[in-house]
Amino acid sequence: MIEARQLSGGYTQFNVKEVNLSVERGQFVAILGPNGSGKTTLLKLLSGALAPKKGEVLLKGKPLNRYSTKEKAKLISVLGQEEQVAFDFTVEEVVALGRYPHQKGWFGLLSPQDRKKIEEALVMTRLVHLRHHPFYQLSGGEKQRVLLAKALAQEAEALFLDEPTNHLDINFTIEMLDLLKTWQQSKGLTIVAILHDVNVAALYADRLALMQQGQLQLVEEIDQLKDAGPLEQLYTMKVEPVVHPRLDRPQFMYTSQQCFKDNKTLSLADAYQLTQNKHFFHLHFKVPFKVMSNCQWGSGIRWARHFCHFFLSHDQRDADWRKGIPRPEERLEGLLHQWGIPPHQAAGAITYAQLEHYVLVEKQVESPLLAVITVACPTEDVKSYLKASVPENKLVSVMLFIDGFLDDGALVQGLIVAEQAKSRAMAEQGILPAKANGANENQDREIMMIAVTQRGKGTMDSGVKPFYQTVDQLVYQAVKKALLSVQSVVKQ
Amino acid sequence: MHPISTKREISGKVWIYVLALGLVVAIGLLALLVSSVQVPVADILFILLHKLSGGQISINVPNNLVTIIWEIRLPRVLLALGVGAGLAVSGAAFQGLLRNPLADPYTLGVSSGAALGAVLVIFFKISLVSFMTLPFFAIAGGLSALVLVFGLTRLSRRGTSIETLVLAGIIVSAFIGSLISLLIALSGEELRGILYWLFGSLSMRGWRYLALYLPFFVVGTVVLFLHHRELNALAFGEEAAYHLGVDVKRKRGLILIGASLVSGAAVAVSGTIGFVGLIIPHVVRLLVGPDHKHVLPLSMLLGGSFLAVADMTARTIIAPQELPVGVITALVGAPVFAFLLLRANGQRGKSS
Repeated sequence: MIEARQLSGGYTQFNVKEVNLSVERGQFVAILGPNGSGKTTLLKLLSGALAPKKGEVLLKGKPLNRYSTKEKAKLISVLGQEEQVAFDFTVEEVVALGRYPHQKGWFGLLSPQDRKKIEEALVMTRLVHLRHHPFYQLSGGEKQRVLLAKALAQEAEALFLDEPTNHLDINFTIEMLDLLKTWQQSKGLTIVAILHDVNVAALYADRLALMQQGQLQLVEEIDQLKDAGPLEQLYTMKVEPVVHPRLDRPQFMYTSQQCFKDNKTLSLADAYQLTQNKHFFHLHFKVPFKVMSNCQWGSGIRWARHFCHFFLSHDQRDADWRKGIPRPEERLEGLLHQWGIPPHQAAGAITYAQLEHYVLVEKQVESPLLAVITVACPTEDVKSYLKASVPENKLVSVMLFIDGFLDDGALVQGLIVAEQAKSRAMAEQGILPAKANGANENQDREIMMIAVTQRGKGTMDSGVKPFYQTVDQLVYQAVKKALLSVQSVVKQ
Repeated sequence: MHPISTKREISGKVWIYVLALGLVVAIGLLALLVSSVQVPVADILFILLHKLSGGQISINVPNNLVTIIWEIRLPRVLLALGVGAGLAVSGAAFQGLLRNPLADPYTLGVSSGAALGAVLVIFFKISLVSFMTLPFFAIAGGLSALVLVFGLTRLSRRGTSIETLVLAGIIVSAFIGSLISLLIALSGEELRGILYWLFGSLSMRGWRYLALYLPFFVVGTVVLFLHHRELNALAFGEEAAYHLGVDVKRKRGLILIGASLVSGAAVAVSGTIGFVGLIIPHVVRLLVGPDHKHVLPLSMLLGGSFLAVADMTARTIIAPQELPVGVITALVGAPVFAFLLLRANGQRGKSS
């Protein structure tokens, strides 16, 4: 649909240098790049607002400068950053301006077809109720919606946008881009948009054009961005690719340089405070940890400083059942509030064990690895716990704390290593792992948790094997010690 | 669709046109009536009928009254209506083109440029094509002043923002004003003629001036009317208008020429009369909104009425002496201008 060949141009010098770009009909191309990289100049060259100094732009195979302004406006409409309007036109009047290239005759009255298209654009952008409202009184988001409606009423085949969501709140940004995407999919609209938000661009665009110092690098497949390389090069900063929870689209996090400053190794002596009574067991750390766990409160991946197990007797559990408190999360939320533990900084579980039987094994390993391992024997009846005939009660919970950086893969690997070490220690005590653990969420759950401070450059750098060996050793010893201590209690 | 609301809007606008036309006729007749020499309404109507029918309807009115009404008052009233209409419509066009609600022929230096052109003709007694010389120079002067103002704003690198444009207009006007003062200082017997233009007056013009003004007025306003949609499209700026399909360079040139033709010709026949082109389009926009399809014709009707009333006041308020009509329009216009300026600033404050 639009093709740039060796396109160069700019106001004073060449802001855009020998750009080649071909946009097919119905494509959504996002242009990304740092300030001053020539994005806007490129868009102006492509839309004909600026004449190229070298090279050419072809629109449907014909050079752009051979179109009359009106003919061109039937093919391309443009939406700028924030447009100021003189005089107080109403919303409907502004949208009606979009029909200019289609109007004929000296008087330029709106034909029924014009009215239909204006109506359609108003409906599409949900502006019908504001049609007689003065444009200048609208909020920024509504103004952009009106200008979008104007561009849509223009019925062009391609829509160029220059940072259309620049001053908009994120909800308007998403709303606007959803609308564009709908238009793209339902009418085959071609979209070329300068976007300043990499994540938004990666969510909506089919292809990316990265501008750097006037030169264009194309990202044909959006998946190529799952490797942070191109973006880090483009913006010369650190970006962290992350996984979108619902969509197969690359997304990014930005890391403040601030987080590399505080790199003192945690010392076990004053890293945490332990509170343990007949109601709960609570570890409060000075620094936050990135946690991966199956805790009922804060399961999955989250950041936390408070780690707790709350004790509930079987009677209480039954009472809960009768009262119809269906889920442990709700119970936990209440308990966290009750004991003054901030829920959004906590990972917690309900246990039916008696908390005196909790065993805390801690060991300061050589920097940067710190491990505190807590093993619980969550059962009301310690004697029956050790009977091999009651397999579902053989639950051991492990919480592993590490001062260092692990990526998600290392976290999973750490969990596996810890689980294997735990099983080995249990097997040596003649205990088989429980079956169908956690299938019923109202039953006891064996908690497996790995928590990392994510400080420093990376524990994995010091060598993969020694690290996992240390994890294995620590978990094995802790589980063993915990089981032995339980046995000693039983023997007494 | 909302046929009801559309219908209601149209009928509302029709009423405004009917009222505005009625106002023009009423004020026209009133202006014929009110003067130092009282002529009965019935006689005025008879004289008009007599003249318009080409003398077929005979009347019983003294000949000197016929002369007063037909040769002095009627051309004066019609010229007031025409000049007012021209100033207002060109003001509306300048405001639309420059997206600047504070632009008008006066603030943009077109009026003073035209005045300089006229003064040059009087001073040097230039005569190229008989009586067309003066309007020709006036229009050329107006256009060159406009080019100068635009050149200044371009050079300032701040673009055509409201402030720079108005500032450039003031600078150019002041410069031209000093040139005119120089010519006045150097002039001898031409002094009265020159001052005549500067005050802005409609007295002692007669049919010849009306005939001189009319062609420019008609051509200019037709050009402007044909560009009402372009003027609307320019509301979002030249680049946005270009993307809507407006051939900005060409249309801008045509609108500027059209507006300068009308305002230059107005200055040529009546001298510099300020504020009509500034405030009338504003009042019209308050009534019918900013659509130039209505702003242009209604500005003409209201502008004509306003100037006719102002002229009527100018010649009656200290009768038998006469005030320059520019004094009246400025006395009314300046406070309104100030009010609009404050209101515009208030609006901008709200929206940002």
